[in-house]
Amino acid sequence: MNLNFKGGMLRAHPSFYKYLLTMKLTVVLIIATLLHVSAKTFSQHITLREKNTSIKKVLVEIEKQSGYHFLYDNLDLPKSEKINIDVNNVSVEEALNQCLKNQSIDYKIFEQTIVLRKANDVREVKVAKISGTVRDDDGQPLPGVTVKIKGTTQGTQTDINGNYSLESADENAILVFSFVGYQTQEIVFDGKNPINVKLTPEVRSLADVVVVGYGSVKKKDLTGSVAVVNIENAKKTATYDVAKMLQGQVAGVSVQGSGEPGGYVQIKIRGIATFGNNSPLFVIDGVPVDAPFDFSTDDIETIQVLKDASAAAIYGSRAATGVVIITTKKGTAGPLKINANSYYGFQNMPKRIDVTDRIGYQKITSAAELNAGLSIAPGNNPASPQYISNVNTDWQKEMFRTGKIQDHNLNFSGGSETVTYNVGLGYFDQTSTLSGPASYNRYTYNGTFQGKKGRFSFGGKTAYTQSHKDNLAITSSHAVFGGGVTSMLTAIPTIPVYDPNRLGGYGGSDNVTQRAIALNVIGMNNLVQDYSNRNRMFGNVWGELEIVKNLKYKVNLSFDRTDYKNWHYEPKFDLGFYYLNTQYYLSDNRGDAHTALVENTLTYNLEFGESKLDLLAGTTYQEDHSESITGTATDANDLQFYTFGAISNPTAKGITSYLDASTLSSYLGRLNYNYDSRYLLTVSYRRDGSSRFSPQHRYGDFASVAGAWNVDKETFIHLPQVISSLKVRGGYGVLGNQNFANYKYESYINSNASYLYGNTLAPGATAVAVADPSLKWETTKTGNVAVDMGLLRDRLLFTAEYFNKVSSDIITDIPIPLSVGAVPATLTTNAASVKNTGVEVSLTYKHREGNFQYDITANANTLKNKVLQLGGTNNPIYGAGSKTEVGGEVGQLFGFITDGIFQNAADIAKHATQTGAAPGDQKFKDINGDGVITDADRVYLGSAIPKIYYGLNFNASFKNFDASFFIQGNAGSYIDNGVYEALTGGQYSNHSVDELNYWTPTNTNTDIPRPIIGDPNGNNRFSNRFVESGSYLKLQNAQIGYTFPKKVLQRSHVFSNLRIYLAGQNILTLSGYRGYDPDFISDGLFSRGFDYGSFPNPRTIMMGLQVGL
Amino acid sequence: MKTFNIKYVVFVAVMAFGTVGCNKQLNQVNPNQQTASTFWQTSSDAIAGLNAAYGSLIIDGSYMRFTPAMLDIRGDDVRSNSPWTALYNIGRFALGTADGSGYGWAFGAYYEGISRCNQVLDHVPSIEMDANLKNRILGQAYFLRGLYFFHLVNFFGRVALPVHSPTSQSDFFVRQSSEADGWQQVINDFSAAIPLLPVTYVGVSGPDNGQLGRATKGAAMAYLGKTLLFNKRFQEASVQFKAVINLGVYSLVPNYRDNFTESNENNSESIFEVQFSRDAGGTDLGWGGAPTSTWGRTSARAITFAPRSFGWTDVQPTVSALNEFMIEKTTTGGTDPRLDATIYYNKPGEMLYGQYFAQVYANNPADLNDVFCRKYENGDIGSSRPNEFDWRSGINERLMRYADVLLMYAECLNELGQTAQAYPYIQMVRLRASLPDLATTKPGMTQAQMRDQLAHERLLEFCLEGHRFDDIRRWGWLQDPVKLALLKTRDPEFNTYQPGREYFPIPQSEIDNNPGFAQNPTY
Repeated sequence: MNLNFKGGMLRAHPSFYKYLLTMKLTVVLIIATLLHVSAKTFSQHITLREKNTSIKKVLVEIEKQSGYHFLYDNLDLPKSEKINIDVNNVSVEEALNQCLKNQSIDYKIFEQTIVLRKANDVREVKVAKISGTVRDDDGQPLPGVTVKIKGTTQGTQTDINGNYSLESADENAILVFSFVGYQTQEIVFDGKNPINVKLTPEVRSLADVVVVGYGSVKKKDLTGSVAVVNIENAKKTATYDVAKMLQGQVAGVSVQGSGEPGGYVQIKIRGIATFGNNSPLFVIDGVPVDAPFDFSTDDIETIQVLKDASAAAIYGSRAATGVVIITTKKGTAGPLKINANSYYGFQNMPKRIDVTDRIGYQKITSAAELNAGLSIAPGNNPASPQYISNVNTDWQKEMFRTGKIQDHNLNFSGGSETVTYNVGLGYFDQTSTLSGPASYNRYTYNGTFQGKKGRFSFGGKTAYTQSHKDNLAITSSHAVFGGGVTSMLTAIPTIPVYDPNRLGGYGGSDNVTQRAIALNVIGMNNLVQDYSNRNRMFGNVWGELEIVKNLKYKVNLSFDRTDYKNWHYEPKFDLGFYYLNTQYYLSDNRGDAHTALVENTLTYNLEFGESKLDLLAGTTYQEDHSESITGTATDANDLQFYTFGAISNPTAKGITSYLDASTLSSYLGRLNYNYDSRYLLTVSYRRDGSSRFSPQHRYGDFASVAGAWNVDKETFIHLPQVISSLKVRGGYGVLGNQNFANYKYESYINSNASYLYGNTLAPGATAVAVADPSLKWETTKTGNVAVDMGLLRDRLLFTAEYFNKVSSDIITDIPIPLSVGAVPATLTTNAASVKNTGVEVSLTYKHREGNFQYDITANANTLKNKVLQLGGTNNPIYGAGSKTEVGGEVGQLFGFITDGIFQNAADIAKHATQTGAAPGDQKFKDINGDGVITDADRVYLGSAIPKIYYGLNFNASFKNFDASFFIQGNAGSYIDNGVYEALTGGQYSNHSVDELNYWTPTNTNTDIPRPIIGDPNGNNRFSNRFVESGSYLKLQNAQIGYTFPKKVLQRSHVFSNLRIYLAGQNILTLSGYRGYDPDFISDGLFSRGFDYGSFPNPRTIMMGLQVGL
Repeated sequence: MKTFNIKYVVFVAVMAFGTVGCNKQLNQVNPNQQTASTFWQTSSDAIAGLNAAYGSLIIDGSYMRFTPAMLDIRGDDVRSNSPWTALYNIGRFALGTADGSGYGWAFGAYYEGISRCNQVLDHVPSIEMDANLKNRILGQAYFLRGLYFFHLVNFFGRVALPVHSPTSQSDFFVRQSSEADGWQQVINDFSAAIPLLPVTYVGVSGPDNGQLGRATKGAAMAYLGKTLLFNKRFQEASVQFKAVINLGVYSLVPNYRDNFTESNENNSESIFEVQFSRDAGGTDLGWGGAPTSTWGRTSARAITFAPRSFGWTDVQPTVSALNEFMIEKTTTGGTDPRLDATIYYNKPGEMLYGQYFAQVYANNPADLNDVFCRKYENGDIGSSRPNEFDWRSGINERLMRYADVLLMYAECLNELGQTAQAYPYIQMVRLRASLPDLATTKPGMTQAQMRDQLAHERLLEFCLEGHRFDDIRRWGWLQDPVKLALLKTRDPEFNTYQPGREYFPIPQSEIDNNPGFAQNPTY
């Protein structure tokens, strides 16, 4: 081996430099103590035939054939001299004699090392013994640390007590200590033993490799906008869904979730880029997958979020909404390692909404009836024999309960030098905080392997998931006004939870006694059964062949199949007025969806001078198929066997099925140019063909270009010492989106538009919907500029980015006039254009002071959304209390402005005409001044998009204790509080306690209008009365943990690592919002600010255990 | 070595580019439905397309539920105390534009039907098929389009009048027409239908032979007459009514009740009837949207209008309607038999759904003294229907009865100054109810007296059949302070009537999405 020390080392270690100068010969002899090295066998037989070759080349060949290592100084080898050698099956000595004849060079053979030196050198070969102990920064011994003599392959590992020893011929050898997860340290041996070393845990640095599409790149060499998620922080969120883990962790990613077990999580990257699904593309281990919630979060090793066009363009057609790249755990060579992660927690509703009790309810509803000129409902009338005075149900109290959440994962990994494996097994289970069967459980298996043989590398993965979700059951045959949560709140207190006199055993409202339609949600949830099962199988294999040096061909095949079942059963029941079920109902929907993917890529890496060029070219082909079949039965007879075969009445049964297929065929290419890590350029291109468009509009071309400049590498720029790294980068590119339903560019015949003559069905067929044949790709153009800065030797890393993203030709269902007669009254077309701009800032800071260390990871971003075009005549799109129009933002709140309460007839007379108004009614502002209150008097009432989103993680540890917390929130958003609107209608359903202060001729100093059945004035129409600030700051989680000292664990001879922790989630919310939770699920689009009563996020207290064997 | 590498390169190239380039894979044909461009080729396509045009008669917005509710509740003979504002506010003239539930669905349903008619009228003429069958198909499509337009113009006034399927997106925006143009379109469509339609389908040659419920010449003439009557074109209207009478195929059924039950559908009195059945189709309720194979073809009227404890009781007759029946006794001194077919009320021995009225409501004095809908309910067919709560009623909705033609004809004669000639046609209807000869009890009425008499006769004959509000509206009662006061005493819901509210609001989505569309006044 060549001990040709570079200048960098010389500067760093002057004593060593001195040594080199004084010594003519630099020979290092290693007496290896490594078992695996000494176990090698050496070929004693050399066959060589070289003519006119340098000595060095011959030595290299001997080294290769014999397995010995050579130690020599370049100075000792005659540089220009060429020799001839011709040996056949001779010993090493013989070969060396041949090679070195006529040279004044001696050699000496040690165990596996041959030392060469000038023949006239008289010095002895000295051998020094070096030994010591390696500990972690808590002082615990670290076993398995690799200790090497720098510049050689010789080395050893620390034993179980952290001790090592090795021998060196060089008194001033440099020892290199390296261990996964710790910073590598170099120490110069000064001749004195022991050399004790303390290793510091690694700080995530710019040298980290970031996985991007079809490859990876050093963070330092990135040109695009790629956020690397701090996975330790993200994993502190107890969830089944990787999307929820990202909440608050990455600038530019907004996540909203509900507390429903297994419920849907809404995720958007850099705003709304389409009017369809704004979820990003998830790529797990190189394969794009839908529904990433099927996979255990514990298996995840890294998450990268590709935000701009440059980073994501390689996924062209599906990248407009961003790409989340996930890699799962891989095995490393070595003995089997077993890790277990578990937590178990309890969940509760953190908040209650104050609604009226029996007395309050009866007071308000009676007033509403009297105001409408109706008699008081008997149940509310003390004068009536049916007056209800003994029932006072607190529905929240009855409904809320303690839910459980648990997650258990086992991980096995290991392997040999050629093949490694990792197997993860997981079980997740969550039960509801609301009464009823709602729950979610999931079993997961994830196995990966990878290996290498010669020029061929390969790998693969299999994953299997089985999940079961019991849904909050809502009957299919009755409207549930406002959904289950709102129904719970609006349920009246004068119906009991249980009533043995009603079919099913649950209480209900009577249309004579109470006159209210009120759903007993507890009864509904328990009577109606509704569940969804998912069985998912995922398989992937890849192989890569290095055809010639640096030219690699890779083929990647994957298959992803989900079988699902959605099952719904309703018995006959009587839940009172309206909620009366006289028929059994059974619906059984089953189907499967599968995706097959073939990817072929060629990569070529080229280096010339300071330049590095990485080229990628490839093709991908994807097929998606799905099919489903649904059987339904409605019968007066009990469907107790839950099977269709057991239903004798043939006319009680119905069946439908659906088939679906789509294909996507793509070419892709990328060029990365790197000049000395100073100047970086990335150019990407992708051409996609999609079956979702007509042949004329099938192909889309997507390209991007981005550059970066590592300013700190520049010699002519001298940055202040405090700045350890500085990079500026920028890019521009075009992305596409085709994430919507198949077959939309053609109009079809519906053959179920039947009628009947007499009692005989007469099949009817007609086109019911309209279609746009020129449907084409959505495109998103993104510009991104950013500065990455490292301060204090990269202890503080800071990134600021600005992006401008214009999405055009957005495919949306634009409302068309009802007079077209189309069902639905919409046209799916490339209509809209939307611009998103924003600034994203993120920073991480790490500090260490003795045994105390802490780190902070924080991010914040702004987002501005502007609609540039809506298509057709640019008619606005109205959502729930919102309007989306050109020049405004998507889903901006829109409604009337209240102007106090009408106090008397004169007040009404002088106000703009407001149909149905009477004293006590809500007054609305005549915005357009036409003297009459109409829908034209509605105005914008606030943005549903926060002005700023932020998240902050803090982790600290002291000796064996650690603590962390995570704060997340937003500021500047507004919510249409649909729940509050439902509670202040002044009708038969239950009321907010605020409603008690309603206007009467004697209670005039109030802003609560009079209740009146029928609401002729439209008091409850959407107005600023229901608009509330959506700003919030949440302590999303906090954790304290204790890691058992290694010393203690070693005594067990079982554990290598053991940590226990106590954590809380959704611990505290600072918000003025009157609803359950400002973090709620909405449609995320045109009604994005509308809280209809989403399942509130529970508060969780949990215990966790992390064990390594 | 080198040849080895070349082999690799060739292999890679084949692998890489062999899998792509098969663009045929990008042609994915919808396996679920036929592409519209391949339809309208055969006579069976034509028949299926026409059946679909009928199909829009039986969804929520049309006769499955909301059209009867919108027609009935506004009359002084009907009221709503529904907890659902979409129903509650109909009779109080208090519907708003913020919530288009109900009336908006009706608006959409009629245009859905028109769109289906337009597809037939655009495509069927070029299909090579039996000329007579083609005429019948086109005639029915004209009739149905006229019927849908009739409802639109009658309810909403100034509406769009699309008469062709859109061929490009610019065709989506049909301008708002005047009410007069709307009525003219209705007249044109019914007029176009008359010569193309047969008097009966019995004996026609084709797949429609003998099918009950298809539009006939008589239906088109009766509706043309009704439209002309609504436009006070009495002379022309009377010609149509007389022509219907002269067809000689219609007669009043002896039992009045046979017009409102499932057992005597498509009888000799029925001129046009919307078909419902519990036997045809699937078990899901076909409210609307894209139809599916599991849709049933039942009405939800019965549960909506049903007496308390047997349905939702969203719609009830007024007590004044009950009293109207008590005004005149039958020739044998009894109560008008039509009352018992129309209203459930607490009379001795009254039964509903197999139970005694007095017992069912014994504990609720309010209900005991209340009146409930009986017409179009299933409460009298025996033990198989203990209530309406399964939502599914198979009773056909009789849109045009021969009795209506007789009374409308009588009204035309009266308006044309031939009051005396009106008597016999009125008496034909009274006779079935065993009422004495009007010529004897009220001889020599003036034109004005006869108008009031017709108002009384029509209320009794057609209570809960959706005619009353149309009648009082075309008679000008809403503008007549005396009559309006009378209406308020009969039905307090009229207290919140205000001029202009005889029209429903145009659904906000039409205003929002069809440029230039104006809302009806007062909304």
